[in-house]
Amino acid sequence: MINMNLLGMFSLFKLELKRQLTYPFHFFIWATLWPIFIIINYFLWQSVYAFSGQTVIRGMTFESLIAYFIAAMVIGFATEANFDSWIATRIRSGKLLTQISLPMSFMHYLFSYWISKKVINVIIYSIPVFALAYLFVGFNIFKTNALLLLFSIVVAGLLTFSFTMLFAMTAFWFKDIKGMRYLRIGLTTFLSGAILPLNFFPESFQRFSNYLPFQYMRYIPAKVMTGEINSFSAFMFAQIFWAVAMFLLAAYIWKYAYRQFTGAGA
Amino acid sequence: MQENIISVANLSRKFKTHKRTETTKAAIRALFKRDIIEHWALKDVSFNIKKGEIVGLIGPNGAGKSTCIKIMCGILYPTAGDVNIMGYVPHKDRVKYVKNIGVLFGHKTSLWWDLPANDTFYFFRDLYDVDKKKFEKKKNLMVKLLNVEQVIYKPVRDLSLGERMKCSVILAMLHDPKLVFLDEPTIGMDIIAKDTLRKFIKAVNEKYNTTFIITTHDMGDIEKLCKRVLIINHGKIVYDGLLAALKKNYIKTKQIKIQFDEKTTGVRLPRGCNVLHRSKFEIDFEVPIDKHKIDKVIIDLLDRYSVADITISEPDIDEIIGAIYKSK
Repeated sequence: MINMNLLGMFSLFKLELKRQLTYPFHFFIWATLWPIFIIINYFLWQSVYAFSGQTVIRGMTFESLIAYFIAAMVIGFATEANFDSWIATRIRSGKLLTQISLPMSFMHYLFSYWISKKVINVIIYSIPVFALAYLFVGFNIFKTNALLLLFSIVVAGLLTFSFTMLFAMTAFWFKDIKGMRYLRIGLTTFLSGAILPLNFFPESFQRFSNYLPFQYMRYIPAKVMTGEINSFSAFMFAQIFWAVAMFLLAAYIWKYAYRQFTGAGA
Repeated sequence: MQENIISVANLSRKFKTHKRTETTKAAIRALFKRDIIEHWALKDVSFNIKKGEIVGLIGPNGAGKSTCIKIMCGILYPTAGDVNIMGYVPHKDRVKYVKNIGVLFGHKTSLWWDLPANDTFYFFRDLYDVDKKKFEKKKNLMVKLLNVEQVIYKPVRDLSLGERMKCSVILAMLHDPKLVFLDEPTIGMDIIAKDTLRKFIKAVNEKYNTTFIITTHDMGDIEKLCKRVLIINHGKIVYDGLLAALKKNYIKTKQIKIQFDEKTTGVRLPRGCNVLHRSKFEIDFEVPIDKHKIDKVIIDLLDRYSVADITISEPDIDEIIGAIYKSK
């Protein structure tokens, strides 16, 4: 965090916002697709609950499950980091040299680039998803501690950012990281609780999961959003621990990874 | 005497690559065992560059020019040797150091592809923390000089290569760098654009005493801009000196072409001359300049024959450089 070029970072953030808005079409597509995933889950679980004849499955009512899906999705808009292929392509083609010849550390560059994406995603995609939330379960079901939620999202964002960065950096050695990328997406999607809340998994797995970083990316902040976690608990400390550890590890490895760069073809 | 702005001592850089094989069978074998090839892109390179110089860094493809530039920009770590530029060690103090330099990689644009170049200019203003008034003044001046008033408002993806290069040059120099690295700045430019850019570089150099390091394959750039050239081949410096001296050292012959007024046969030439072409009204030959003085040869011929026209020429810089590339 030393040598932070804040003015430059903010300017880059604005430039990236502008760039993303030059191609607005895909925003419309995703603004339609995200609500569809919620709708599918809604009807799927409605029939599961009806078929089982129970009102509570694994400690969750149908409404609280839908609220969880919505919360997890919105947390995803705010924290997801999928820039590993962006970095890998640039390493392989040598195009990365235009980024690393700037008076700004690459981590800061990437951070500004990523934040601009997150801001746009949250603004554009949250609107239709929250509209559905209002329609399906109402807003009263979210007993959110707003300050805690903000905190948890920021920490989850840092954790997710650093985790993706660790995978992205393997491109300095492997050049092509499609396999690594699928591994990362697989791990984070299933183990973070993005598809299904972790309390639907076997109990032994849940206990094990407490010692892994993944649930702090999605499951814990989503529970903060639904209000199941509403005070600064041990989960928050664990979340901070993972975020800081992952960030320091990424920053440390970057120093060595970067030396592998050859800037080919320029 | 100006002080050194760049000093490079015993610089070496090694690259490792995996040996790629031709057959599928070998490719499968390579999954388990890969042969690594080591290759020295730079070997024991030393030179100094003084403030205010325009130096041409030239060499054949794969000679090590780009590696050398990338190390001087702080992008690559050297394997061995010392680099000191304006008191910085580029790869160690990269972020602080690059605030003082301008860089242009001809093949990789720093401009945002989907946005007008003007937007990137403003990003660079903030990135390099340039004073707003100074920035406007400098931008307007350069935009006018390079004749891109309209161009900078079009998305970069819609520009021609030459237009893009001009915008990239502006981008590299907006923050008044004391040292500028230009890696093939004239690719894709037409004759007029090249000339404009060269004049522009010359003017900036004279006005602000800015140092330029230029790599190029266009000898026109070198002749018009650089007093001094560094020639790199196979990772080593094979020539470091004035362009004029290079010409003097490497030009061994001059070519003389004479047209006669009347049918002339059996022309007698001084010893050691090499006839390239001969007809009834014309003779074309090379004179070794270490053996004969050109003026004497001509006077002698004028005395003896009825001459209509004489042309004297010397090998151009392309040929000389080509000979050096091949020889080492």
